[in-house]
This record gives sequence, C-alpha cells and structure tokens, in this order.
Amino acid sequence: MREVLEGFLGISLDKINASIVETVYMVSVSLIIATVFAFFFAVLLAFTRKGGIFQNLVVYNVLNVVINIVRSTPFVVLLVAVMPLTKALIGTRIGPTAAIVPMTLSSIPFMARLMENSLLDTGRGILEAAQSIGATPFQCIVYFILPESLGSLILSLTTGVVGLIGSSAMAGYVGGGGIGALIQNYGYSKFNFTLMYSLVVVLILVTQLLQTLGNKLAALARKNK
Amino acid sequence: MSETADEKTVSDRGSGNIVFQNVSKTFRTPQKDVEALKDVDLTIESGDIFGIIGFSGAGKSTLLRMINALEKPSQGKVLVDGEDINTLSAAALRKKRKNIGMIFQQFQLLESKTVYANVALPLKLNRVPEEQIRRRVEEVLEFVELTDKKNDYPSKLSGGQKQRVGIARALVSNPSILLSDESTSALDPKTTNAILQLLKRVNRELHITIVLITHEMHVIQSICNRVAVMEDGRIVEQGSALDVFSAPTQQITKNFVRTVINDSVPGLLVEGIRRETRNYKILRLKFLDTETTESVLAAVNKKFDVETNILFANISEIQEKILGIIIIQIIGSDEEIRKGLAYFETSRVGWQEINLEDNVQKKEVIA
Ligand SMILES: Nc1ncnc2c1ncn2[C@@H]1O[C@H](COP(=O)(O)OP(=O)(O)OP(=O)(O)O)[C@@H](O)[C@H]1O
Ligand SMILES: [Mg+2]
Repeated sequence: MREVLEGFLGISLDKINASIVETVYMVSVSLIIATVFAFFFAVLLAFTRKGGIFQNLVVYNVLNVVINIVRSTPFVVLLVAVMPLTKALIGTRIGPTAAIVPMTLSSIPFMARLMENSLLDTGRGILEAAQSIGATPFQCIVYFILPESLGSLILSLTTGVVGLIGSSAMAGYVGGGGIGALIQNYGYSKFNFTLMYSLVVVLILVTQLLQTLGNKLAALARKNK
Repeated sequence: MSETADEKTVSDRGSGNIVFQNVSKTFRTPQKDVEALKDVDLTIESGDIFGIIGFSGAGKSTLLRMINALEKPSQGKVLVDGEDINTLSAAALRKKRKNIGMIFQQFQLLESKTVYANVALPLKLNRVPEEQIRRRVEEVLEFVELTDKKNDYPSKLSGGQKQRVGIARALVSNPSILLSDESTSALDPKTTNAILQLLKRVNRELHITIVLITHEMHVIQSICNRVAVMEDGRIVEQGSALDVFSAPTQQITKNFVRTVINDSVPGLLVEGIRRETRNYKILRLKFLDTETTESVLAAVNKKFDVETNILFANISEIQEKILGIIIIQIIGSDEEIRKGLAYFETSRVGWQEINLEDNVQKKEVIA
C-alpha cells in the first residue's frame, strides 16, 4: 500500500507526513494567536464606534486606520516586509515557525473585521433589551452580545482558518515549510504534477471539511437545527 | 444579601407614577435636526394603563424610551416616582431600570437561550441565588401561561408565545412600571387580543402601571383607561379613554376613533334626509348606560311634538363601560326640538349637533 502510494506520488510518505504536521502547526498556532488579538480588536471596534456602549472615537479611528492599512497590504509584500520583525522575534527568517509571524499578522485584521461584523449583527434591539433590564455594559457584552453572535463568530473563525491555510501555502513557497513548500519544491520544480495536483486536492478537501464543520458548529450555537 | 424580586419592599418598588415636564427632544443628524418631541407635559398615574397613539414618526417611541432613560430629553424633566431619572448616577439608573420592565415589537429575546434562561437572566445579572431564581421564574412563567415551554428555544415559539416570554422577562424582577413599544404590532388579531388581556392582568393583579404605544385605536379601546394622542412631536389630546372615545376634539383623534367606532351615516339615508322639507336637526347622542337609550328616545317622541329617526347606532365597551353613540334626525319646530334637547340633558344623555356632510360614508372608490 505504502509502496503503491509512494510510487504514485514519487515521494516518500514521511516527507508528506512531515509537511502536513508543519502545516497543521503553522495554521493552528497562527489561528490561536490571531483569534485572541482579532477578537480583542473586534470588540474594541464594535463597541468604541459612534453609538457603541464604550464610545471612544480616538481608539476607534486609530484602530480602524491601522487595520485597513494592514489589510490592504498584499500577503506577499507582508511576508517580506515583516522579515526583520520575524528575525527579531524568532531568530530566523525561514522555516515553519518564522512563517507564523506574517501569517498571524495578516490574519488579525482580516478576522477582526469579520468578527466586528458578527458582533454588530446582533442588532441594537437586543442591546436595548439588555439596557432596559439594567445590565452593565460588561454584562451587555458577556450575557447578550457574545452568546447571540457566537454562531456568526464561529463562521468568521472558519473563514479565518481557510484563509490561513491559503497563506500557509504561500508562506511555504518562500521557505516557510509545510504543504506549500512540498508543492513548490517536489511538485512544481521537479515537474511532478501528480504530486502537485494530489496535494492541491487534499487542500481543497481539507478546506471543504473545515467549512462544513464550521457551518455545523455555527448552526448548533444558533440553536436553529 | 442581594436584592431579589420577592424581597423588594413596597417603597423600594415605587408606585409607578411618571411625570413629563415640558420635555423636548431634538435629534441632531448630519443632514438636519429632527424635533421628535415638542413641549410634552404628561402625567401618568400609578395604576394606569396609559395608551399613546399616533402615526409613524409622531415621536411615540422617543417619548416611551425617556421613561427608562434609553433616550434623554434635550429639555425638560422626566420624573419617575418623583425622581428625575436623568440626574441619577449610572449605577442608580441601572437599579431604577430594574423597576421598569420593557417589551418590544420584535420581542428581543436571546435566540441562543431557552425560555427559562431568557426569563432568568435579569435575576442572574443581579446574582440572585439559583434556587430563588428557579422559584421566581416558574412563578412568572405560570403567570404568562408558558410553563410547558420553559425548555424550548425562542425559534420554536409562535409570535404570541415569544411576547409572553418577553413579558415574563420584564416581570421577573417585580417592576412597578411596564413599557410596551408596539408589543402587539407583529401579531395577528387573535393573538393581539390574548396579549392585551394578559397585559390587563399584569395591571390588575400585579398592580403594575403600563405605558403602551400603538398606532391602533383598537388596542387603546381594549385595555387603556387613559390615552394621549400624538402628532408631530406634540400631545394634541389626552384624557380618559371614555372621554376621548365619546367626544374626540381634534381631527386626528376623530379619525382614530372612527377606526373603531365608525359613526358615519350610510349614503342612502342621507339622500332621504336631504329630501326632508320640515325643520330638522342632526344630533349625535352619547349614552353611557344603554338601558335608558330606548326609553329616552321614546319619551322625547311622546312628550314633545317631534319625530326622531335613528340614522346610526353603535354600542362599544370602553373601560368596562358601555358607550352608545347614536346619530338621529330630530324633526319638529325649533321650539319643540329645544325642549327635546333639554330633556336629553336632564336624562344625562350627551348631545351634539353635527353637520351631516361631515359624517356621510364616503363612497368607496374602486381603483
Ligand atoms: N436616533 C435618532 N436619530 C435621528 N432621528 C431620530 C432618532 N430616533 C428617532 N428619530 C426621529 O424622531 C422622530 C420620531 O421618532 P419615533 O421613533 O419616536 O416615532 P414613532 O412615533 O415611534 O414612530 P413609529 O410608529 O414609526 O415607531 C422621527 O422623525 C424619527 O425619524
Ligand atoms: Mg416607534
């Protein structure tokens, strides 16, 4: 079995396994860090805006502009631009761990926007209901807005993961490791198109799977089975 | 020990009286300033079911939302149980709001929480012990007749049931005031009536002052004892529901009343009246006790040299009283008619001479 597969793909399965582990590592670490920051910024954006519970236009405007700048920088540019930072933080510019820095950085503003919208989707009405029963601003967020937007937040998170898989492949291309690197180094450069397309199919399947999982979890959180 | 629903003393709870003193509100928007309220003076007494009616944009919601300070006046004061609600600290305001329940047209329930959890939430925020919460929630769910739905999610409920959950959530902290912003406008007529009857019970059995806004006169007719009519940011007419229904003074009020008491004379009858060559007047009579209706009319015919024709009659129930509106044509000499009118007065029947043309049923125009 193993020999058949290796013969078909023209590469040892250990290499494939190692690259999958790398991708999972890059995506999951970036996801965790990015989610924490993105959520924090999303809360700030949603609640410091005009008319928000903690209206603070200075915070809102600064954050808004910074996020727009990072978000409109193409990932390839970001990859290169943050290299000095990567070097300072990680000690090297290449390898899976180094790739986590640009991946996380590009994902934070993207996910922050998605999550901000999730939070804003929970209309003013529910907030008013919360205020009318005498909830503190903190209670409004924790007991009303978060549970109501959980489903939507899960969908944002799912979109974030899918985006990260994409950027992990791109990071791999410039020395980041993972499936992206495998596709580049053993597929594309060595004209092993069987390997290349097989890996692409795997990426597509994984993406589909994650999206389905996200949709299911979101529906569960929304209680609208 | 934390403050809980059943531990509130009477003075804590407040009596539920609300006073607007010269309240104006201007919304400043980049495009233009909107004067949503203009010089509103209004007193809502403890125990009232006070209805505020007006067309869309009249300022009803703005007015209502001032009672729990979701909206602040640009000018004037709003006193709730004698306290200026806008001078309270944030913490004191939150405490006060627990005394003022609110229900909404779109219910505003947490879709991700069960009926029980929705109703329990106000107490949970107050850190009431779990066991006490359970008892209180079950009590209010029983009151709104939803005990069997307590573990369901709102998405499974009908509109009427959702509003019952809304009412239960508003009642759970034992308020003295309940604000209702078009709470029946999203419901069908039958469900509307059931919810209105529930609100009446809230008022009678729990002694809660209710302020409700609506654009349907039928809602006012069913449960309100007092009513204010709003037009363009002002209160143009207010009084007891009975007075307003039996003798509306403003045109807008007359139009609203006409949606439930259609006191217009059928066109065919008018033709006949126009052909009458004898001296006559058209009168709108108001009876508050219909048992006397026939005898008074019969007596007028017998005692004086007049003839009366009933052109229109309507009996309705308002504030648990019977209100009869009858339009008659009274034929006879001016002298005899005058005597008849005096007799109406001594029989405590209100009368008003009307211009027939104002009360003719408009021919339906088929587009
Ligand atoms: N936050 C706001 N900013 C600007 N204008 C507002 C705001 N809230 C209300 N208005 C305006 O104030 C006026 C009164 O609004 P309000 O909501 O009190 O009317 P309403 O009588 O409740 O109408 P409806 O029956 O449609 O609910 C309207 O012209 C409305 O557009
Ligand atoms: Mg309104």
